[in-house]
Amino acid sequence: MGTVLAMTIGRLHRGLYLALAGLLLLAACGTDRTGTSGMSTIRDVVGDLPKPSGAKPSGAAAMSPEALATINQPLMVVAIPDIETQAVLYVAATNGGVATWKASNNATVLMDGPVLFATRGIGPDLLSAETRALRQMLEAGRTGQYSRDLRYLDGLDQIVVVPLDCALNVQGNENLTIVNRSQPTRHMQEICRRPDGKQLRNEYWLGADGTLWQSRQWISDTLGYMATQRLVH
Amino acid sequence: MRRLATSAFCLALTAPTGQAQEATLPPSASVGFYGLPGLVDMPTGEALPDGELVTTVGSFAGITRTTLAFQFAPRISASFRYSALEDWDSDGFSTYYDRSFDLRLLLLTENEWRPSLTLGFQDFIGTGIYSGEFLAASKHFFDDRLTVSAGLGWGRLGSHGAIGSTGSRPDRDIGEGGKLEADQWFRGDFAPFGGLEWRPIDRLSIKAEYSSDNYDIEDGEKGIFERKSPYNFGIEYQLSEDVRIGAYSLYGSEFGLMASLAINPARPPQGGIRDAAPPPVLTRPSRSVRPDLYTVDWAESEDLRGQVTEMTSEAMLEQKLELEALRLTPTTATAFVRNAGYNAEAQALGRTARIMSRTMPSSIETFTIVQTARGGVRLPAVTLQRRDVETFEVQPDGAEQMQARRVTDTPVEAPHWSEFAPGIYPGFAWQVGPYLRTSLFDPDQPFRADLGINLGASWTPVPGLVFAGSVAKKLIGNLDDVTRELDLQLPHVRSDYALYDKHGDPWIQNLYGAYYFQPGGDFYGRVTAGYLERMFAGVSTELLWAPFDSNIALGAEINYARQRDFEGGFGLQDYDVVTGHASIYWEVVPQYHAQLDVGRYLAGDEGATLSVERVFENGWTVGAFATKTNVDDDEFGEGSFDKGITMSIPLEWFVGRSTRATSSFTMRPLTRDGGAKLSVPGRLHGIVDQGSERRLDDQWGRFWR
Repeated sequence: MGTVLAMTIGRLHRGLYLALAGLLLLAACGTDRTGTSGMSTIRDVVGDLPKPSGAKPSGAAAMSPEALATINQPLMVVAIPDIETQAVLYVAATNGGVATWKASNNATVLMDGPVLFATRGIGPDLLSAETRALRQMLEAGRTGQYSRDLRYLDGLDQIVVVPLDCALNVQGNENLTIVNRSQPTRHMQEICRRPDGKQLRNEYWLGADGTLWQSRQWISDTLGYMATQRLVH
Repeated sequence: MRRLATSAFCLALTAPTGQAQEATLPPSASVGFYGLPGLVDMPTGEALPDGELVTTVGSFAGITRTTLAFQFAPRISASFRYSALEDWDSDGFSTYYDRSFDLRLLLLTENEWRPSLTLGFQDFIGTGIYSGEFLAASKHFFDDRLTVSAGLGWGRLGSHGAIGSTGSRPDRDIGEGGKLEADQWFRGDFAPFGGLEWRPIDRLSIKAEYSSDNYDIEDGEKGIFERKSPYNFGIEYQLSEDVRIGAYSLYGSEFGLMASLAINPARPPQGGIRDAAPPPVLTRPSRSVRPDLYTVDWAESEDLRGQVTEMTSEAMLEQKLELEALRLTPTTATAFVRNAGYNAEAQALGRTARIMSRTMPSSIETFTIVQTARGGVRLPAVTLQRRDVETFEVQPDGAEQMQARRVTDTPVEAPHWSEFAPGIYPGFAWQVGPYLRTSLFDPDQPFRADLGINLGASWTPVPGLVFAGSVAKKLIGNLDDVTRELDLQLPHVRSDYALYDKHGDPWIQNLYGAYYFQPGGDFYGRVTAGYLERMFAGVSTELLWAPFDSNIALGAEINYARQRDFEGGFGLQDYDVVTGHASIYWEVVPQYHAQLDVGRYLAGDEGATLSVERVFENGWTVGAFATKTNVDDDEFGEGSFDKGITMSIPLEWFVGRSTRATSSFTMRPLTRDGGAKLSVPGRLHGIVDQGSERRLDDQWGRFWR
């Protein structure tokens, strides 16, 4: 009971914070080339509040193999179960082996090959992750133990480095069926321990050429894990 | 066609607002009826978490205490309390309103073998009805399930069950109030107090205490309630991380209720800032692969340079930034940028750098970014190497690397007329919005407010010259029914505020011209003339020396001001004054800022104002100020000197989206005429401070956001 009540109250007073912000600021409108008046900010945020109901669009399910066959650029579905959201992403840019995968609403997921490097515009984002060594191991199918850092911003905008102690192992070969097509993959599992004792379990399914066909990768405490599936090579 | 197919399937990938995680509870120290860490009516030896800001309302026996407490530093907390005591019947009021300030010092923190120890001064500058000092200790047991506290109190806190005495406590000479009463401290009888807090489950507390407060006046002379027993009991529930409620049995005769709201700058309600993703950095093909891209012929063409400016300007608008001017050489680019969108200066820098990587010709190797403010004031220049921008976008320690590699320097030369982006000058802007004004602590009615509408416009014909004005009209409110007439001896420079509300609606809030100039180096100057604020018109001049890499800035301001009439139009009254200050702005240690102003105030009185502020990295500020001038207490009136609390909260902290909007408050327990300053729009320090290295570093983590 306590939790439910607390969550209701929590939600109530987050709403209250917004109302308070509106009142305190008494934000104005006017000539505003950049759309940055306080009022437009509040409007944006209110527009983002979860809607009571409505049909949930189903991303990947809505795509038929025929539709996919007409597309010849890389596409990837990303789902974040903890916030009940998913999207289809395309590559908007690449820099030094890191691809910026972009959703239509300006959220991006940066991937160093198969490994999550950063998120932007999703929520309290992953600022960056150490990926290079892990990428090489995944692509070569090597196992081993190593440590790598994740970076976040805290409530005061300070960089927080979270060191992980990880082990990578091979789970075996698996055939995945992705949009009616069978993909042979090697399933690798990365188990990491955080300083606070929490254990993270990332999974990677890679094709023989190193393409990441499917994965489950930790983002942050608020967002939890993301699941990815490659639709178009 | 391909693009179309993609975007048709694309869905939003965004956490809905308000998905901040239910953080694990609590346990910060719970507060008592005085709004500071305590049992029921007695203090404990604990402190609040650093930076915590707690508002508490507690009521029993017709006594309602509203307290704002702030943990200014890990070991120092201060609070302001406004109490209403029903049936007090003093000076012709049936309800007596009292203001009091507390200060607490955490002498020892708790560890395995010792308790925490706190030294407290209660009501140390008010009228003294709550005055008391104490030393209290607290120790947690059984995984924090049980907290045992005990202490010794003096003054009010030593009025029941005294076990000894340290001299005699002199009577407080109340006078006009507002003075330190150091000669009373730790004098007179002292008595022990203490109690237990038990947390059977995480969210629930049960409290029992023995109180050493005899409520002599309330129980005796005033007969507000009967104090039958020294034992108090309470039950409290933590509704959420921020909200706590409690119910109590007090002094064997009364029932009490309390609620507290705790907020902390380090705990944004939305869990952090979520902006749309920034544009990705565009890397150039290497010179060996595409030597043709690295030619510099473009620099000769006015047309191509214009195209670069235009492209950059458009891309920046999409990122809530405005390109004011762009200076190009074959290998360097200097962008003059108005940051319209980001409270974090580093984020504005980062997004500008990303855009420049996308729009600048490949031969440009160096980006210099100059933030401009208030119609063209150039803030310190930040120079980045394009190669670094390309490399560190995708490095795990990319933000730290950029911080180490950036070079900050004094403002660069103003842009040449040919370098301005199209449509920037002359600039015209207007805005309309609601306003809220409040008046607190009038004994006739402690809370009054007006809600109205405000219309403002500005015109910037050339860089550095601004003409601006605003008018306001009240829609609803009761600020004009102040009837209290005060017999004050100083010129009425502030105390006539009610007359402005009564007679001036609608009114011209301000109407002025301002000229900003930069004589060179780290100097900034300003001349402002016109109707400067609601009560004064005049001419204001200011000079500021503020090196970008120093923790000290010096300023001087000289103004001639003449009082405006109450009707809010162009009319003036006879009173005029030359007023001004020399100021030192000093960041004493990181996050703690002090400002000392010495000079002549509006009523012609002379003296100094000391302000102390805690400036959190994310822009929250909480502070206090006091002004002492050469008027004696009687001449000043109630309160003896001007003082107050200031707070400023970036709106983005509330809403989780970048915006530069900030809400600021100044709260004074009393408004009198001594120590009053002219309020000039667009003073320099606030503008120039945005460009300091400290501001950049405070939120540097947002460079790549």
